[in-house]
Amino acid sequence: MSLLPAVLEVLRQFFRKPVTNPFPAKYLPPSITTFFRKAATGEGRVNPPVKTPARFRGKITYDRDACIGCRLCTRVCPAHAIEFLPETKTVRIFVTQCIFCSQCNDVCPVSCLHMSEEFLIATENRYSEEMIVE
Amino acid sequence: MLSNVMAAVIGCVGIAAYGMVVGLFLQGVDRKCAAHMQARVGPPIRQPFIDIGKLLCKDNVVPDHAVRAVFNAAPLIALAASITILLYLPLGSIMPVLGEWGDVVLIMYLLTVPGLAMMAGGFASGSPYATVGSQREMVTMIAYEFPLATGIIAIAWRLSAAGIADPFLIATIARTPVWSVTGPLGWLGLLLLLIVLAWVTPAELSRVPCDTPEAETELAGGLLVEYSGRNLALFSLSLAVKTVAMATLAVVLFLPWNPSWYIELEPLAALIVDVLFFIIKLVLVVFFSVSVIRVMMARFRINHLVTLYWKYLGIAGIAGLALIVLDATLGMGVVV
Repeated sequence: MSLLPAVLEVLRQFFRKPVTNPFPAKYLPPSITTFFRKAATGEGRVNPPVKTPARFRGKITYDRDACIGCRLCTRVCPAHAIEFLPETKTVRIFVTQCIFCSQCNDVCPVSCLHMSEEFLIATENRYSEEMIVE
Repeated sequence: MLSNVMAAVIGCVGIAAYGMVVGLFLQGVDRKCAAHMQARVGPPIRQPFIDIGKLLCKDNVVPDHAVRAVFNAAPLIALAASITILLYLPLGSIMPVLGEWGDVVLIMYLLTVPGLAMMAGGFASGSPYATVGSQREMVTMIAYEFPLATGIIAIAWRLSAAGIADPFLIATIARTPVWSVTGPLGWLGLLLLLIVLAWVTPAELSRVPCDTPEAETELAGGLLVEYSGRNLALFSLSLAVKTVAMATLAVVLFLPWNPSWYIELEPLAALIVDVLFFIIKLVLVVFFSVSVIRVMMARFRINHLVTLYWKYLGIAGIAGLALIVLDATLGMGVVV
Protein backbone atom coordinates (compact mmCIF):
# COMPACT_ATOMS: atom_id res chain seq x y z
CA MET A 1 0.00 0.00 0.00
CA SER A 2 2.89 2.37 -0.62
CA LEU A 3 0.86 4.13 -3.31
CA LEU A 4 -1.94 5.09 -0.93
CA PRO A 5 -0.35 4.98 2.52
CA ALA A 6 -3.33 6.44 4.39
CA VAL A 7 -6.02 4.01 3.27
CA LEU A 8 -5.47 1.35 5.95
CA GLU A 9 -5.17 3.91 8.72
CA VAL A 10 -8.33 5.63 7.53
CA LEU A 11 -10.30 2.39 7.45
CA ARG A 12 -8.95 1.35 10.87
CA GLN A 13 -9.94 4.70 12.31
CA PHE A 14 -13.46 4.27 10.92
CA PHE A 15 -14.10 1.45 13.40
CA ARG A 16 -12.54 3.22 16.36
CA LYS A 17 -14.29 5.54 18.76
CA PRO A 18 -13.98 9.24 17.86
CA VAL A 19 -11.61 11.12 20.15
CA THR A 20 -13.94 14.12 20.42
CA ASN A 21 -15.36 14.60 23.91
CA PRO A 22 -19.08 15.12 23.22
CA PHE A 23 -19.52 18.01 25.65
CA PRO A 24 -22.21 19.09 26.49
CA ALA A 25 -24.09 16.75 24.09
CA LYS A 26 -23.24 14.68 21.04
CA TYR A 27 -25.06 17.05 18.67
CA LEU A 28 -25.85 20.71 19.13
CA PRO A 29 -29.22 20.95 20.93
CA PRO A 30 -31.84 23.27 19.35
CA SER A 31 -31.41 25.67 22.28
CA ILE A 32 -28.31 25.46 24.45
CA THR A 33 -29.82 27.46 27.34
CA THR A 34 -32.92 25.28 27.48
CA PHE A 35 -30.64 22.25 27.37
CA PHE A 36 -28.63 23.38 30.41
CA ARG A 37 -31.74 24.51 32.26
CA LYS A 38 -33.24 21.05 31.78
CA ALA A 39 -29.99 19.43 32.87
CA ALA A 40 -30.01 21.57 36.01
CA THR A 41 -33.49 20.35 36.96
CA GLY A 42 -32.41 16.76 36.36
CA GLU A 43 -34.48 16.24 33.19
CA GLY A 44 -31.57 15.96 30.75
CA ARG A 45 -27.98 14.87 31.08
CA VAL A 46 -24.85 16.83 30.28
CA ASN A 47 -21.87 14.85 29.07
CA PRO A 48 -19.01 15.69 31.45
CA PRO A 49 -16.34 18.01 30.02
CA VAL A 50 -12.67 17.06 29.71
CA LYS A 51 -10.76 17.28 33.01
CA THR A 52 -9.09 20.65 33.42
CA PRO A 53 -5.28 20.62 33.25
CA ALA A 54 -3.02 21.40 36.21
CA ARG A 55 -2.78 25.11 37.20
CA PHE A 56 -5.95 25.84 35.23
CA ARG A 57 -7.15 29.43 35.64
CA GLY A 58 -10.91 29.28 36.11
CA LYS A 59 -13.30 31.43 38.15
CA ILE A 60 -11.53 33.25 41.01
CA THR A 61 -12.05 32.33 44.68
CA TYR A 62 -11.55 34.71 47.57
CA ASP A 63 -10.88 33.92 51.23
CA ARG A 64 -12.16 37.08 52.89
CA ASP A 65 -11.16 36.04 56.42
CA ALA A 66 -7.51 35.75 55.41
CA CYS A 67 -7.51 39.06 53.49
CA ILE A 68 -5.55 41.88 55.19
CA GLY A 69 -6.90 44.66 52.94
CA CYS A 70 -3.52 45.66 51.48
CA ARG A 71 -5.12 46.66 48.10
CA LEU A 72 -2.21 45.22 46.11
CA CYS A 73 -4.62 43.18 43.99
CA THR A 74 -6.64 46.26 43.00
CA ARG A 75 -3.46 47.95 41.80
CA VAL A 76 -2.10 45.01 39.86
CA CYS A 77 -5.39 44.04 38.15
CA PRO A 78 -5.04 45.09 34.47
CA ALA A 79 -8.78 44.86 33.88
CA HIS A 80 -9.81 46.88 36.93
CA ALA A 81 -12.03 44.03 37.96
CA ILE A 82 -11.32 44.35 41.69
CA GLU A 83 -12.98 46.99 43.83
CA PHE A 84 -11.82 47.87 47.36
CA LEU A 85 -14.50 48.17 50.03
CA PRO A 86 -13.16 50.62 52.67
CA GLU A 87 -15.80 49.88 55.37
CA THR A 88 -14.85 46.20 55.68
CA LYS A 89 -11.32 46.49 54.26
CA THR A 90 -12.03 43.67 51.81
CA VAL A 91 -12.31 43.49 48.01
CA ARG A 92 -15.09 42.74 45.57
CA ILE A 93 -14.22 40.98 42.29
CA PHE A 94 -16.36 41.33 39.17
CA VAL A 95 -15.91 37.99 37.37
CA THR A 96 -17.33 39.26 34.05
CA GLN A 97 -14.60 41.91 34.02
CA CYS A 98 -11.83 39.49 35.07
CA ILE A 99 -9.42 38.38 32.32
CA PHE A 100 -8.14 35.34 34.28
CA CYS A 101 -4.52 36.53 34.24
CA SER A 102 -4.05 35.51 37.92
CA GLN A 103 -1.65 38.39 38.64
CA CYS A 104 -3.63 39.15 41.80
CA ASN A 105 -2.98 35.57 42.97
CA ASP A 106 0.75 36.12 42.52
CA VAL A 107 0.86 39.47 44.25
CA CYS A 108 -1.35 38.64 47.25
CA PRO A 109 0.92 38.52 50.35
CA VAL A 110 -1.38 36.17 52.27
CA SER A 111 -2.54 34.00 49.31
CA CYS A 112 -6.20 34.61 49.83
CA LEU A 113 -6.97 34.67 46.07
CA HIS A 114 -6.97 31.49 43.99
CA MET A 115 -8.10 30.38 40.56
CA SER A 116 -10.58 27.50 40.74
CA GLU A 117 -11.29 24.86 38.10
CA GLU A 118 -14.77 26.20 37.40
CA PHE A 119 -15.13 27.45 33.83
CA LEU A 120 -18.83 27.08 32.95
CA ILE A 121 -19.59 30.65 33.99
CA ALA A 122 -21.28 32.15 30.93
CA THR A 123 -24.28 34.22 31.93
CA GLU A 124 -26.71 36.82 30.68
CA ASN A 125 -26.49 39.03 33.78
CA ARG A 126 -23.10 40.53 34.64
CA TYR A 127 -24.23 41.54 38.15
CA SER A 128 -25.78 38.23 39.16
CA GLU A 129 -24.71 36.81 42.50
CA GLU A 130 -22.33 34.20 41.13
CA MET A 131 -20.60 36.80 38.95
CA ILE A 132 -19.50 38.90 41.94
CA VAL A 133 -17.02 37.40 44.40
CA GLU A 134 -16.65 39.16 47.73
CA MET B 1 -51.96 7.90 -24.36
CA LEU B 2 -53.03 10.34 -21.64
CA SER B 3 -52.42 7.77 -18.92
CA ASN B 4 -48.96 7.18 -20.35
CA VAL B 5 -48.20 10.88 -20.09
CA MET B 6 -49.62 10.98 -16.55
CA ALA B 7 -47.46 8.01 -15.54
CA ALA B 8 -44.39 9.67 -17.02
CA VAL B 9 -45.12 12.94 -15.19
CA ILE B 10 -45.71 11.19 -11.86
CA GLY B 11 -42.59 9.10 -12.43
CA CYS B 12 -40.51 12.21 -13.15
CA VAL B 13 -41.74 14.05 -10.05
CA GLY B 14 -41.22 10.94 -7.93
CA ILE B 15 -37.70 10.42 -9.27
CA ALA B 16 -36.86 14.09 -8.66
CA ALA B 17 -38.00 13.82 -5.04
CA TYR B 18 -36.20 10.49 -4.63
CA GLY B 19 -32.99 11.94 -6.12
CA MET B 20 -32.94 14.93 -3.79
CA VAL B 21 -33.82 13.01 -0.63
CA VAL B 22 -31.47 10.09 -1.26
CA GLY B 23 -28.76 12.47 -2.52
CA LEU B 24 -28.84 14.54 0.65
CA PHE B 25 -28.98 11.34 2.71
CA LEU B 26 -25.90 10.03 0.89
CA GLN B 27 -24.13 13.31 1.59
CA GLY B 28 -25.06 13.01 5.25
CA VAL B 29 -23.70 9.46 5.37
CA ASP B 30 -20.57 10.62 3.55
CA ARG B 31 -19.97 13.45 6.01
CA LYS B 32 -20.58 11.16 8.98
CA CYS B 33 -18.26 8.44 7.66
CA ALA B 34 -15.55 10.97 6.74
CA ALA B 35 -15.79 12.43 10.25
CA HIS B 36 -15.39 8.99 11.84
CA MET B 37 -12.37 8.29 9.66
CA GLN B 38 -10.85 11.51 10.98
CA ALA B 39 -11.66 10.53 14.60
CA ARG B 40 -14.41 13.15 14.82
CA VAL B 41 -18.06 12.68 15.77
CA GLY B 42 -19.32 14.58 12.72
CA PRO B 43 -22.69 16.16 12.01
CA PRO B 44 -25.96 14.25 12.28
CA ILE B 45 -27.07 12.43 9.10
CA ARG B 46 -29.82 15.01 8.54
CA GLN B 47 -27.31 17.91 8.44
CA PRO B 48 -27.40 18.36 4.60
CA PHE B 49 -31.20 18.79 4.81
CA ILE B 50 -30.74 21.45 7.51
CA ASP B 51 -28.09 23.18 5.35
CA ILE B 52 -30.34 23.26 2.28
CA GLY B 53 -33.25 24.55 4.37
CA LYS B 54 -31.08 27.31 5.75
CA LEU B 55 -29.66 28.25 2.33
CA LEU B 56 -33.18 28.49 0.92
CA CYS B 57 -34.17 31.16 3.43
CA LYS B 58 -30.99 33.21 2.97
CA ASP B 59 -30.59 36.24 0.69
CA ASN B 60 -29.77 35.53 -2.94
CA VAL B 61 -26.99 37.99 -3.80
CA VAL B 62 -26.15 38.63 -7.46
CA PRO B 63 -22.86 40.53 -7.94
CA ASP B 64 -22.91 43.78 -9.95
CA HIS B 65 -20.47 42.47 -12.56
CA ALA B 66 -22.35 39.22 -13.10
CA VAL B 67 -24.27 38.35 -16.26
CA ARG B 68 -27.56 38.15 -14.44
CA ALA B 69 -29.51 35.78 -16.69
CA VAL B 70 -26.74 33.17 -16.99
CA PHE B 71 -25.80 33.53 -13.34
CA ASN B 72 -29.35 32.72 -12.23
CA ALA B 73 -30.06 30.11 -14.90
CA ALA B 74 -26.93 28.02 -14.24
CA PRO B 75 -28.07 26.45 -10.92
CA LEU B 76 -31.50 25.63 -12.38
CA ILE B 77 -29.97 23.96 -15.44
CA ALA B 78 -27.52 22.05 -13.25
CA LEU B 79 -30.31 20.68 -11.05
CA ALA B 80 -32.62 19.92 -13.97
CA ALA B 81 -29.83 18.09 -15.82
CA SER B 82 -28.90 16.06 -12.73
CA ILE B 83 -32.51 14.98 -12.29
CA THR B 84 -32.76 14.16 -16.00
CA ILE B 85 -29.87 11.69 -15.63
CA LEU B 86 -31.83 9.84 -12.98
CA LEU B 87 -34.79 9.46 -15.35
CA TYR B 88 -32.59 7.27 -17.56
CA LEU B 89 -31.25 5.17 -14.68
CA PRO B 90 -33.03 2.29 -12.93
CA LEU B 91 -33.91 2.27 -9.23
CA GLY B 92 -33.60 -1.20 -7.75
CA SER B 93 -35.70 -3.38 -10.01
CA ILE B 94 -37.76 -0.39 -11.23
CA MET B 95 -36.70 0.18 -14.81
CA PRO B 96 -35.88 3.78 -15.89
CA VAL B 97 -38.82 6.11 -16.56
CA LEU B 98 -37.44 7.24 -19.93
CA GLY B 99 -35.39 4.09 -20.56
CA GLU B 100 -36.76 3.55 -24.07
CA TRP B 101 -35.64 6.98 -25.28
CA GLY B 102 -32.01 7.00 -24.26
CA ASP B 103 -29.05 4.75 -23.60
CA VAL B 104 -25.83 4.77 -21.66
CA VAL B 105 -24.09 7.09 -24.16
CA LEU B 106 -26.79 9.71 -23.51
CA ILE B 107 -26.09 9.37 -19.79
CA MET B 108 -22.42 10.11 -20.45
CA TYR B 109 -23.40 13.31 -22.23
CA LEU B 110 -25.96 14.27 -19.58
CA LEU B 111 -23.35 13.79 -16.83
CA THR B 112 -21.36 16.67 -18.32
CA VAL B 113 -24.32 19.09 -18.35
CA PRO B 114 -24.33 19.98 -14.61
CA GLY B 115 -20.59 20.61 -14.90
CA LEU B 116 -21.12 22.78 -17.97
CA ALA B 117 -23.84 24.73 -16.18
CA MET B 118 -21.54 25.29 -13.21
CA MET B 119 -18.85 26.44 -15.61
CA ALA B 120 -21.22 28.90 -17.28
CA GLY B 121 -22.30 30.13 -13.86
CA GLY B 122 -18.67 30.57 -12.84
CA PHE B 123 -17.79 32.56 -15.97
CA ALA B 124 -20.95 34.64 -15.52
CA SER B 125 -20.15 35.56 -11.89
CA GLY B 126 -17.64 38.20 -12.98
CA SER B 127 -15.13 37.16 -10.34
CA PRO B 128 -11.54 36.20 -11.22
CA TYR B 129 -11.68 33.34 -8.70
CA ALA B 130 -14.81 31.94 -10.34
CA THR B 131 -13.25 32.33 -13.79
CA VAL B 132 -10.17 30.37 -12.75
CA GLY B 133 -12.47 27.79 -11.17
CA SER B 134 -14.44 27.47 -14.42
CA GLN B 135 -11.29 26.99 -16.45
CA ARG B 136 -10.15 24.28 -14.05
CA GLU B 137 -13.57 22.61 -14.21
CA MET B 138 -13.22 22.54 -18.00
CA VAL B 139 -9.79 20.90 -17.79
CA THR B 140 -11.02 18.40 -15.18
CA MET B 141 -13.98 17.48 -17.38
CA ILE B 142 -11.77 16.86 -20.40
CA ALA B 143 -9.52 14.73 -18.19
CA TYR B 144 -12.06 12.32 -16.73
CA GLU B 145 -14.31 11.80 -19.76
CA PHE B 146 -11.95 9.39 -21.50
CA PRO B 147 -11.49 6.80 -18.70
CA LEU B 148 -15.26 6.87 -18.05
CA ALA B 149 -15.99 6.27 -21.74
CA THR B 150 -13.60 3.30 -21.95
CA GLY B 151 -15.37 1.65 -19.01
CA ILE B 152 -18.85 2.09 -20.45
CA ILE B 153 -17.85 1.05 -23.96
CA ALA B 154 -15.96 -2.03 -22.73
CA ILE B 155 -19.00 -3.30 -20.86
CA ALA B 156 -21.46 -2.62 -23.68
CA TRP B 157 -19.12 -4.21 -26.23
CA ARG B 158 -18.69 -7.35 -24.11
CA LEU B 159 -22.47 -7.67 -23.78
CA SER B 160 -22.85 -7.38 -27.56
CA ALA B 161 -20.07 -9.97 -28.04
CA ALA B 162 -22.10 -12.30 -25.82
CA GLY B 163 -24.95 -11.91 -28.32
CA ILE B 164 -27.22 -9.77 -26.15
CA ALA B 165 -29.51 -7.43 -28.10
CA ASP B 166 -29.35 -3.65 -27.49
CA PRO B 167 -26.20 -3.75 -25.33
CA PHE B 168 -26.11 0.05 -24.88
CA LEU B 169 -29.62 0.20 -23.36
CA ILE B 170 -29.46 0.79 -19.60
CA ALA B 171 -32.21 -1.78 -19.04
CA THR B 172 -30.10 -4.44 -20.77
CA ILE B 173 -27.00 -3.62 -18.75
CA ALA B 174 -29.02 -3.55 -15.52
CA ARG B 175 -30.60 -6.95 -16.26
CA THR B 176 -27.39 -8.71 -17.30
CA PRO B 177 -24.51 -8.56 -14.80
CA VAL B 178 -21.48 -8.28 -17.08
CA TRP B 179 -19.50 -10.51 -14.69
CA SER B 180 -21.75 -13.42 -15.70
CA VAL B 181 -20.83 -13.25 -19.42
CA THR B 182 -17.05 -12.85 -19.08
CA GLY B 183 -14.35 -15.38 -18.33
CA PRO B 184 -11.37 -15.02 -15.94
CA LEU B 185 -9.49 -12.56 -18.20
CA GLY B 186 -12.62 -10.45 -18.49
CA TRP B 187 -13.03 -10.41 -14.71
CA LEU B 188 -9.51 -9.00 -14.44
CA GLY B 189 -10.39 -6.35 -17.02
CA LEU B 190 -13.65 -5.53 -15.22
CA LEU B 191 -11.80 -5.18 -11.94
CA LEU B 192 -9.47 -2.66 -13.60
CA LEU B 193 -12.45 -0.77 -15.00
CA LEU B 194 -14.15 -0.83 -11.59
CA ILE B 195 -11.09 0.85 -10.08
CA VAL B 196 -11.09 3.39 -12.93
CA LEU B 197 -14.77 4.19 -12.36
CA ALA B 198 -14.20 4.48 -8.60
CA TRP B 199 -11.61 7.17 -9.37
CA VAL B 200 -13.74 8.95 -11.98
CA THR B 201 -16.53 9.39 -9.41
CA PRO B 202 -14.74 11.96 -7.19
CA ALA B 203 -13.70 13.95 -10.28
CA GLU B 204 -17.24 13.86 -11.66
CA LEU B 205 -18.55 15.14 -8.30
CA SER B 206 -15.59 17.52 -7.79
CA ARG B 207 -14.80 16.16 -4.35
CA VAL B 208 -11.32 15.96 -2.79
CA PRO B 209 -8.78 15.09 -4.32
CA CYS B 210 -10.35 16.42 -7.54
CA ASP B 211 -11.98 19.56 -6.17
CA THR B 212 -9.49 21.78 -7.99
CA PRO B 213 -12.35 23.87 -9.52
CA GLU B 214 -13.61 24.76 -6.03
CA ALA B 215 -10.33 24.72 -4.09
CA GLU B 216 -11.41 26.54 -0.91
CA THR B 217 -7.87 27.30 0.16
CA GLU B 218 -6.59 28.99 -2.98
CA LEU B 219 -9.71 29.92 -4.98
CA ALA B 220 -12.00 30.58 -2.00
CA GLY B 221 -14.64 28.28 -3.44
CA GLY B 222 -13.80 28.82 -7.12
CA LEU B 223 -16.89 28.34 -9.27
CA LEU B 224 -19.21 28.86 -6.33
CA VAL B 225 -17.45 31.87 -4.83
CA GLU B 226 -20.19 34.39 -5.75
CA TYR B 227 -23.13 32.05 -5.21
CA SER B 228 -25.33 32.37 -2.16
CA GLY B 229 -28.83 31.69 -0.92
CA ARG B 230 -31.25 29.93 -3.24
CA ASN B 231 -28.77 29.59 -6.11
CA LEU B 232 -26.19 27.90 -3.88
CA ALA B 233 -28.92 25.64 -2.49
CA LEU B 234 -29.81 24.59 -6.04
CA PHE B 235 -26.16 23.85 -6.82
CA SER B 236 -25.86 21.81 -3.61
CA LEU B 237 -29.01 19.90 -4.51
CA SER B 238 -27.69 19.33 -8.00
CA LEU B 239 -24.47 17.91 -6.55
CA ALA B 240 -26.52 15.67 -4.26
CA VAL B 241 -28.61 14.36 -7.15
CA LYS B 242 -25.48 13.90 -9.26
CA THR B 243 -23.99 11.84 -6.43
CA VAL B 244 -26.98 9.51 -6.70
CA ALA B 245 -26.63 9.43 -10.50
CA MET B 246 -22.92 8.60 -10.43
CA ALA B 247 -23.34 5.94 -7.72
CA THR B 248 -26.31 4.48 -9.63
CA LEU B 249 -24.24 4.33 -12.81
CA ALA B 250 -21.50 2.44 -10.95
CA VAL B 251 -24.09 0.08 -9.45
CA VAL B 252 -25.78 -0.52 -12.81
CA LEU B 253 -22.52 -1.14 -14.64
CA PHE B 254 -20.77 -3.32 -12.09
CA LEU B 255 -23.13 -4.45 -9.30
CA PRO B 256 -26.58 -4.81 -10.89
CA TRP B 257 -27.77 -7.78 -8.80
CA ASN B 258 -31.17 -7.57 -7.10
CA PRO B 259 -32.31 -9.81 -4.23
CA SER B 260 -35.57 -10.54 -6.06
CA TRP B 261 -33.64 -12.49 -8.71
CA TYR B 262 -32.77 -15.11 -6.10
CA ILE B 263 -35.55 -15.02 -3.51
CA GLU B 264 -39.26 -15.63 -4.24
CA LEU B 265 -41.22 -12.65 -2.88
CA GLU B 266 -44.58 -10.93 -3.28
CA PRO B 267 -44.31 -8.30 -6.07
CA LEU B 268 -44.58 -5.33 -3.66
CA ALA B 269 -42.23 -6.84 -1.08
CA ALA B 270 -39.74 -7.65 -3.84
CA LEU B 271 -39.89 -4.04 -5.01
CA ILE B 272 -39.24 -2.65 -1.52
CA VAL B 273 -36.44 -5.13 -0.80
CA ASP B 274 -34.83 -4.33 -4.15
CA VAL B 275 -34.95 -0.58 -3.57
CA LEU B 276 -33.54 -0.89 -0.04
CA PHE B 277 -30.77 -3.20 -1.24
CA PHE B 278 -30.10 -0.75 -4.06
CA ILE B 279 -29.72 2.14 -1.61
CA ILE B 280 -27.30 0.04 0.47
CA LYS B 281 -25.25 -0.49 -2.69
CA LEU B 282 -25.30 3.28 -3.33
CA VAL B 283 -24.06 3.92 0.21
CA LEU B 284 -21.24 1.41 -0.28
CA VAL B 285 -20.21 2.96 -3.61
CA VAL B 286 -20.22 6.45 -2.10
CA PHE B 287 -18.29 5.20 0.94
CA PHE B 288 -15.47 3.68 -1.09
CA SER B 289 -15.21 6.05 -4.02
CA VAL B 290 -16.04 9.33 -2.27
CA SER B 291 -15.56 9.18 1.51
CA VAL B 292 -12.45 6.99 1.76
CA ILE B 293 -10.71 8.70 -1.14
CA ARG B 294 -11.45 12.20 0.07
CA VAL B 295 -10.28 11.52 3.61
CA MET B 296 -7.04 9.81 2.71
CA MET B 297 -5.84 12.31 0.10
CA ALA B 298 -5.06 15.97 -0.27
CA ARG B 299 -6.16 17.94 -3.32
CA PHE B 300 -4.40 17.28 -6.64
CA ARG B 301 -2.73 20.09 -8.47
CA ILE B 302 -4.50 20.65 -11.78
CA ASN B 303 -1.59 19.16 -13.78
CA HIS B 304 -1.47 16.13 -11.46
CA LEU B 305 -5.14 15.61 -12.07
CA VAL B 306 -4.78 15.66 -15.84
CA THR B 307 -1.77 13.31 -15.69
CA LEU B 308 -3.63 10.90 -13.44
CA TYR B 309 -6.72 10.71 -15.64
CA TRP B 310 -5.16 10.88 -19.09
CA LYS B 311 -2.08 8.77 -18.37
CA TYR B 312 -2.59 6.33 -15.50
CA LEU B 313 -6.35 5.83 -15.48
CA GLY B 314 -6.48 6.16 -19.28
CA ILE B 315 -3.94 3.34 -19.59
CA ALA B 316 -5.76 1.30 -16.94
CA GLY B 317 -9.03 1.81 -18.83
CA ILE B 318 -7.52 0.74 -22.16
CA ALA B 319 -5.86 -2.25 -20.46
CA GLY B 320 -9.24 -3.23 -19.04
CA LEU B 321 -10.85 -2.85 -22.46
CA ALA B 322 -8.03 -4.90 -24.06
CA LEU B 323 -8.41 -7.68 -21.49
CA ILE B 324 -12.15 -7.81 -22.15
CA VAL B 325 -11.62 -7.92 -25.91
CA LEU B 326 -9.02 -10.67 -25.43
CA ASP B 327 -11.47 -12.50 -23.19
CA ALA B 328 -14.08 -12.49 -25.96
CA THR B 329 -11.59 -13.33 -28.74
CA LEU B 330 -10.18 -16.29 -26.84
CA GLY B 331 -13.70 -17.53 -26.32
CA MET B 332 -13.75 -17.39 -22.52
CA GLY B 333 -17.13 -16.81 -20.89
CA VAL B 334 -20.21 -16.40 -23.09
CA VAL B 335 -19.42 -15.66 -26.74
CA VAL B 336 -21.71 -16.05 -29.71
